[in-house]
Amino acid sequence: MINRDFTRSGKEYIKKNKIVIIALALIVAMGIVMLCVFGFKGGSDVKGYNTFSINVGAQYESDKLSDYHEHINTNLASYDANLHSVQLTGEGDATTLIVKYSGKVKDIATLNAEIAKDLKLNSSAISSHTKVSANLTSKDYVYAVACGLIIITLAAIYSACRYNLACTMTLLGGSVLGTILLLATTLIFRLTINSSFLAINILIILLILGESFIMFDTLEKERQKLNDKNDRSTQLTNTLKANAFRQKLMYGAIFAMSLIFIVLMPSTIKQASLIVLFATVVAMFITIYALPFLWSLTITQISDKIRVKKDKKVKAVQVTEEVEGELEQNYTENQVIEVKEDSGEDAPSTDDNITIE
Amino acid sequence: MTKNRSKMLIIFLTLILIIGLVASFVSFTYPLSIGGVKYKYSSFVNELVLGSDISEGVMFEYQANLREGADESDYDTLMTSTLTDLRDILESSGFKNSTISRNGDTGIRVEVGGIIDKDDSSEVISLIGSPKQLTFSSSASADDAFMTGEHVSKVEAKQMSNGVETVFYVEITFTDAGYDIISTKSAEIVADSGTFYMLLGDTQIGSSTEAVTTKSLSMSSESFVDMQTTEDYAIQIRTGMLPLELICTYNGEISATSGVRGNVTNPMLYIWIALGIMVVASLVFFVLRYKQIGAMAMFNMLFYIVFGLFFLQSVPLVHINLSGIFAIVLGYIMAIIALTTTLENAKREYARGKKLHTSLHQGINSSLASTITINIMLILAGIVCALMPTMAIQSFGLVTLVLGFVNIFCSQALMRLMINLYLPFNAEDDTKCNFTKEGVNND
Repeated sequence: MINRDFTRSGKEYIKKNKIVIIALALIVAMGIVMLCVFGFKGGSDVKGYNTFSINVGAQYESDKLSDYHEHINTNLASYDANLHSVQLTGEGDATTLIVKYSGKVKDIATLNAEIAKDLKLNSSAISSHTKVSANLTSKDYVYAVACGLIIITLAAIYSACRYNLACTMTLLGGSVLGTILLLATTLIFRLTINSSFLAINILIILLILGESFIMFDTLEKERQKLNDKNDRSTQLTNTLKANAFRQKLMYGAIFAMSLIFIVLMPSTIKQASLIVLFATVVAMFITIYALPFLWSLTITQISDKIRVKKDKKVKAVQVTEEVEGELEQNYTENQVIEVKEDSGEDAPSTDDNITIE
Repeated sequence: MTKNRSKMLIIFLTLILIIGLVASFVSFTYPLSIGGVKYKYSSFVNELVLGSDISEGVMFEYQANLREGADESDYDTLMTSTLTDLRDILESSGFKNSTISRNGDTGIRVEVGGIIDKDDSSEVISLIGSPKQLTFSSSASADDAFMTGEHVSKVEAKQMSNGVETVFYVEITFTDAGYDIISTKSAEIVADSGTFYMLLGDTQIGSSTEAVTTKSLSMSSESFVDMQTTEDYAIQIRTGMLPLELICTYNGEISATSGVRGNVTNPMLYIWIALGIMVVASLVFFVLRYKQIGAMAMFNMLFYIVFGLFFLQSVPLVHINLSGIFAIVLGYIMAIIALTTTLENAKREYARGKKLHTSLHQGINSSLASTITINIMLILAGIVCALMPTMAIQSFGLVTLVLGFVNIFCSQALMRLMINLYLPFNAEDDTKCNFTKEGVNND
């Protein structure tokens, strides 16, 4: 009964969120298009990078580091190259800046000369540019996918044992949808992928799984506690609302932290934090809206199927009973006839049968 | 629990917490000296093993050349093996946060993270700063070498004890081809009453007047005083077995691989600021939403931070790179989830008409299953991730694993204690917990 009641909430979700569902489909479609056209935007860990060093020597002043960074960035940008990072090494005369960037610079000599001029250095202070290979291999991606699959499978087995099929389906649906949405948004917004992306993917799956378990626990308890079906429906909606408040605050905290990272951090961490920011939005959407929706939908579908099966069984039982009744009646009649035949008399009337019985 | 007992316990726990927070964040020199030496206390935060992407490390640049007699067409294959071997050497030495990449056509760049102090930095430099070729020679000069390290399959540090004393030694295992060469050559040398030598570059590291008759050769030295020195020695021998000859062209300390921002070379500073803001915001939330019982939850979260930092710095193999930082955020969020679930459940029970103390106890009891579930899931996920060889996933997994255990303890055992400590002070007044009655009693 509760399933039927909650179906109304599920349908309300669909009605209210038609635009959201269409938007989701669009996001996934755009993601696929971006994947086909551009593919993923790999960072230095994924695609490798070019590097050169600048011997700034004793003239180096720590408070001018941001100026050096700015000059190098501007010069590289003018050659369509992206600055990944600037690192500092050595002391005194050996103080050196190590520059990592992506993109192919055609006229390296001119670029070096321009950087040297801006930093007020001799051209010889800048080393030759070399290509550095990627850190991540295809094996790493395989491990990450394997990791995600093992975690989801374990969670699904647990959910099936502890809760029910509807919860397991919800959990699987939520995790898969979360991963797809994160990949799609990464593709659409051309976010740079580095090694931490693999961990962020697992993080979002864990967040969704954790929230799923909390939701299932609360909802299943509420279902068992309340007898009145109207109370149940209202209570479940209220429980979800209370959960949503906590979730919004929690995601707000991650969101704020990611924003701080984006504002303050060097570009490599900034890129990873941008993905965390999007992952937070995706996780928030999945846990607050998609999971309750999926739960009500799956529990309705399953209960509908069970109901249809039950109806069929009931009908089948009724038909069987009718057939059996008829058969029994015929059998009795035959018996009577046989009895009558045995006794060498004519077939009896119906009234006679009743009398015999 | 009586009010007085509760008061005493709260004071005691507050003192423990203050000591814990100081131990976590403040490094200092001990005021008293022992034997004229002043010892320094390093805080939990300082002792965290950080990755090269978020903290300073050591950088090496090598020129990789073909060894004598090697075929030039094999250069790329040998380069790949060299990169893999270097990674293995660093990881087995405990420096898991290293970035090893091919630099141009013939160069290798190694950036090693997890450097806590100058000693670590010197240790890495002594281990891989100047790799020299391992040779087996009929004289004390490498010019007379009859075999190189390419015929050695394994070098291991081992120990053997007879109950009285422990002997440390390095065991060198030869390949089949290597065993054929060294058994034949050593037999010839010994037959001429000679000695055969093991050299790293031109430095003699061992000698023997006996022929090699097994596939393994044991080497012991007076300098092998413990397992650490023996392992270091074994690692130096392993660097001599690298397929390409490495000439170190640069070594020195370097800022984090994530680069500089503004005039700051250490991104950890900003990471601490961001994490600090998140912590403060969550603590303020607890107090604002649940008032006095929220303050107890805040107390609990501070304990979580101290325990978390303690275990993150003390559990072996735990290293924190950017992925590890995200795992810290995840762990903290899970801790908030656990506590808010407990308090929200209590609030709901109270709204339905139960008394304050009953609703608080029911709140923590009803959150037990879900708290244990999410943390067990966190622990299992941590184990799976920690078993993966990819550094980013491994760091994420190890941190998640540690924080999962800490979270179970804090959100259930410690929070239960906090509630028990709080109830003697207030078991009736709902306004002090920001709880309100809404429905009727369903009991």
